Amino acid sequence: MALDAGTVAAVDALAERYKYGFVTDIEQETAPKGLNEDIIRFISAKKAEPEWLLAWRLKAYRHWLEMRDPKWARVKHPPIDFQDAYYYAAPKTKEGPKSLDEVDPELLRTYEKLGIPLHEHEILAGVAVDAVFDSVSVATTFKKKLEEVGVIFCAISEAVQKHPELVRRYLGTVVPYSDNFYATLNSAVFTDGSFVYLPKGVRCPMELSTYFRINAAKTGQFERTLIIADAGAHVSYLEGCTAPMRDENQLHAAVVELVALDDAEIKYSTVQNWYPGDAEGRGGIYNFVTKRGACRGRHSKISWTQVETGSAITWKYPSCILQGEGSSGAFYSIAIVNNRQQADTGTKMLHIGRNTRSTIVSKGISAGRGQNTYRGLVRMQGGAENARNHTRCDSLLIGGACGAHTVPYIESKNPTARVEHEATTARIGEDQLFYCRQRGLDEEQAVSLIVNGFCKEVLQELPMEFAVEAQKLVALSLEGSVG
Amino acid sequence: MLEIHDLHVSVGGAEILKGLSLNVAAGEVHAVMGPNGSGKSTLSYVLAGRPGYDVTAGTVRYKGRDLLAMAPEERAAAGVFLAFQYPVELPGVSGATFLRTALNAVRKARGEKDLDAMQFLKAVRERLRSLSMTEETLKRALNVGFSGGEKKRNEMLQMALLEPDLAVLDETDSGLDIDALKLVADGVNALRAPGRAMLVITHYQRLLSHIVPDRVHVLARGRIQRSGGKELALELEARGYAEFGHAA
Amino acid sequence: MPSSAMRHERAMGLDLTPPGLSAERFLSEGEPLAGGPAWLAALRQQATLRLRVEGLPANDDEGWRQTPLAALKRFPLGGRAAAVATPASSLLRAEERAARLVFRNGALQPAAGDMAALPAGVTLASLAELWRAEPARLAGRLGRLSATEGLPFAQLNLSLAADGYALLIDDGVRLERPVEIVFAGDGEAAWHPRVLIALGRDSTAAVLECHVGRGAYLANGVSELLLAAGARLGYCRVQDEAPAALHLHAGMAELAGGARLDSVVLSLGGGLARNEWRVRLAGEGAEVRLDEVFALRGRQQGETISVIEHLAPHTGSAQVAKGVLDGHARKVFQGKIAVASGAAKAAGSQLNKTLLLSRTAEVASKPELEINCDDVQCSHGAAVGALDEDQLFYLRSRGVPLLQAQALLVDGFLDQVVETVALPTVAAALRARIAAWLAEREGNGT
Repeated sequence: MALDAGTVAAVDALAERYKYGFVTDIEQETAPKGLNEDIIRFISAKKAEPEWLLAWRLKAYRHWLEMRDPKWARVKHPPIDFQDAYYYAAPKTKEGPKSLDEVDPELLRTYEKLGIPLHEHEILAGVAVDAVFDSVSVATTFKKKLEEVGVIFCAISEAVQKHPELVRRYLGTVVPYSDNFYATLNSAVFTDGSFVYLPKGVRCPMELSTYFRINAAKTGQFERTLIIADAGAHVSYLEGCTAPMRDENQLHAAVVELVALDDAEIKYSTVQNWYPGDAEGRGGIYNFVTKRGACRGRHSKISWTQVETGSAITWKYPSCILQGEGSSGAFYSIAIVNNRQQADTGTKMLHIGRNTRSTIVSKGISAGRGQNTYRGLVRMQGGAENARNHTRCDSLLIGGACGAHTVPYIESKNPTARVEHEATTARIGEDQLFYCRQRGLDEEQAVSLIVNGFCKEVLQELPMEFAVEAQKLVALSLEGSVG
Repeated sequence: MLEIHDLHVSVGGAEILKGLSLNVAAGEVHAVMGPNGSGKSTLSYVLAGRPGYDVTAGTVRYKGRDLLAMAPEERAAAGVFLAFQYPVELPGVSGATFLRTALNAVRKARGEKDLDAMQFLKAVRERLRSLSMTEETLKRALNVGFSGGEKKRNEMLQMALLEPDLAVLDETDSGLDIDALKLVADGVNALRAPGRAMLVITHYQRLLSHIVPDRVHVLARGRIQRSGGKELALELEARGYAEFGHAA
Repeated sequence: MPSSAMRHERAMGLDLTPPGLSAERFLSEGEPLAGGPAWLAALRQQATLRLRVEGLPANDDEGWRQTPLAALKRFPLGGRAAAVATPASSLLRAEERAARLVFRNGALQPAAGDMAALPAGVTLASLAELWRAEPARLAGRLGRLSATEGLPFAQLNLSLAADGYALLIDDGVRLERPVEIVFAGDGEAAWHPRVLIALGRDSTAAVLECHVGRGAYLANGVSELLLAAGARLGYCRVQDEAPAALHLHAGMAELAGGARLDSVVLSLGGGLARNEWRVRLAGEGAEVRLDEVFALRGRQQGETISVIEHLAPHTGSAQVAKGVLDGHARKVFQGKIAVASGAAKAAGSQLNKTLLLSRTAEVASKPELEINCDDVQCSHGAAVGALDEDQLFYLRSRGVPLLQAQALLVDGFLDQVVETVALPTVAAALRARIAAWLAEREGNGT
């Protein structure tokens, strides 16, 4: 069992390899530490929000005070002291930049270092980026070009000012303020995030993307993203995340709401690479996220693709509410845990309308002392005539000290609906490893090759530029998992 | 090139090879024949370094180096190639990806530069043609759903690309019809070269009428029982392995 | 797992169970039987105490999320009805079985039994009789598995059990024909039958249990199965309780090295029927097969909650639960395969397939894998749907009426489980009972 012994040794010796762990030295403006109604008023005032939004935040906050944090996920962490954190941190700037020329050069350098150039002449062709730094959006590229076709892509705080009617109509309609502990907290204190609106019939001319960066210490990030695709509109949206290496745990409790009307299509991809903590499990991001899409229109489509390699703890279940007749939802996921990372992630597919379809493909990889859980719900409501779901859940174990758990919930109340679930758990094949090594690959290359093959079904769902990145990230995340 | 001396190997506590000695010089093709269970596959796996095979005594020197001290990929980089009796399936890994990764890993270890996509394609295309294989094969996941013949041809393709110095062919003839056998043999013969040694492991003589060996060894009960020229293969074909303590 | 936190809160006085339903109520309505050895009395006391502290389950316990707990009140929670001496039906003919025991409303009916043909080395007896006469044979066995598991109704059983049976097989003894046990109920009453099956090294036995009844009653059973190294047990339960009955059963098994348990449950009866399984594959090479066939209709709810623990290397488990739901029936399946670190080369598989025959039937399935060892091969699958339209049409186009066509297909679907039952006599008994269920369905024209 050379692999097992090697794994343990390699994990013990694992050096820091997280290359996004630097801190940007920039003057910050923060709200006082702690959480109370005054902090919420402070955040709301900072963003010059209308009265209704402040009232909504306060309603959420009061509700949250009555809630307890969820215990059902297979994750362990010490209790979180919600008073020992900052709920607002922003780089100090005059008024908020009007154009990229006004953005602090230190921030531009930060994003360049992260591989996300914000200058339009350098940018990845065909990708518009909204860059969120701690609590605020610092820049959004290609805004003009998008405006020409009627696509609104901006920070949600900006949307509150410029398109209040749209925000008010949709905010909290997919994830209500009372939804769950972390979503409710987010509703009370969310600071920034992206807003996208696609008018009827518009096919977005480029990929949209948001890049989230946590920089400040002891700061929670509570972004809120809202994407609305009106009838016949199409959009592909990408999200990336990183944070500095710190010994403390930082909370990231985001909410993403998607709304797809008749024949609209939203493709939402995430490459989550928050700081995972060190080999002993010190530090790292608690990534407690609520993502949900409503397929409200006939034949609307929402697909979630996620590559989850970072965070100390991941707790997220990107879901689809399939209301519209013939609407479809998809969830493609790769979740990798190494060292002492924990992930409890999956999806919910709620089939309400007739002829609704959903596909779930989940690939979990556990290494080191990582614990990886797939948790998913497929529910066929009484009206889900001829609805279909197919779920495929595979887990791969690398080394003897990690865990892989599969917890699907399947509920059906309609005899014409069909649900199929398949899952396997196995370790990486020794004969596969040996075969690759006999052809000259070292063990790490061999593992990376086999794992990438294992994940292929999901990787190919990612947009091209991201797929290549993600493939490298998969290899990087498993570095040191074999010896 | 290859010097095996008094090799003892155990698998799961049972001794399979019991003092096997064998020398193969560069430019030579040796056949190892023997009945089922005589230790033929064990020999090939030990030479390639498969985990789980405990060498309890003896030495194997390859180009003067201690082969047993080398990791499987080091052996591959040093020019040892094993054509597997049962090639392994790699779901989701296309043949092209696999070949290119392997080829560049071996090239890197030899201090050569990576082949870019075009050079790689060129190199593969030539070999594909000679094995009557199509490029379609490269797009499929490696060995997944391949027929026995396809798998074996795929092994020959890899061998041709990696250009080993010592090729070990483990029962490459098993499961092949006569046309496929001929094709594989042609592939092997094309690789015969003064600097290259080959060890052809087989139960039957039929492969040896296409790949004519310089020496033939009979492996039975964990040791080489007899060695001779190519005529020994024919003799075995006629008389079986009975005299070596096994039913044919 | 919310349950430990919930338990803790309940211990603090926050009872989350539905009003009117409490552990105390169950306990006060039962009458623990006096007598038996001191160790048994101590075990019973512990169980009672534990039940009082931890309370009954609540709907936020993961294993009870889908159970209509408030509905438990509909069933009698205690009391003992006089046994009526009606003859109990038998699934096996006299020559097909090794022996027979009959219990009515939880009490042994010696006259209805048939113990003549038992070979040497086999003890089959009333538990109450044994713990009075030969308690030493039960010490360290009875309560060994159930005492440690946190199953509230199993605690209730230990606390109140009045009788049941023990099957004890000596080392190396092979009992070729199955033992048949009939539990019949026919009164407004509650009973808590207890079963202990202990197989010595390399011994073999087969048991067919049949649970039948009339009227409304609570049957709250616990079976403890202890298999020594190399032992083989075939354990078949036909659960055919009255439609108004509440059937609760906890099966707990521990298998030593190389032991094998083949269990199959045919689940047809009960207004609410719940089967809990806890199987510990404790010895190297131990193997379990935990199958179930269910067919429910009306407003029946059936529940299967199983945990199979692979604790040693080379252990194997296979679980298949297949069934059909008609009317407003509801099925809950929660099956977990847990592989401990160190259980190298464990192999586990699990399959839950449900056919919905009506628009109002419902299913909730949760097959779960919990793997803490990398050298494993585990898989599970679940599927829910209706009968295949093409197959139905094909049969109907050949002149087979719809209900009969459905019956044919359902029979074929369920038989995939029955055909794996090793003893032909037991398989035939299961087939006959399934055929009767389908015939009733056809007769009702539903």
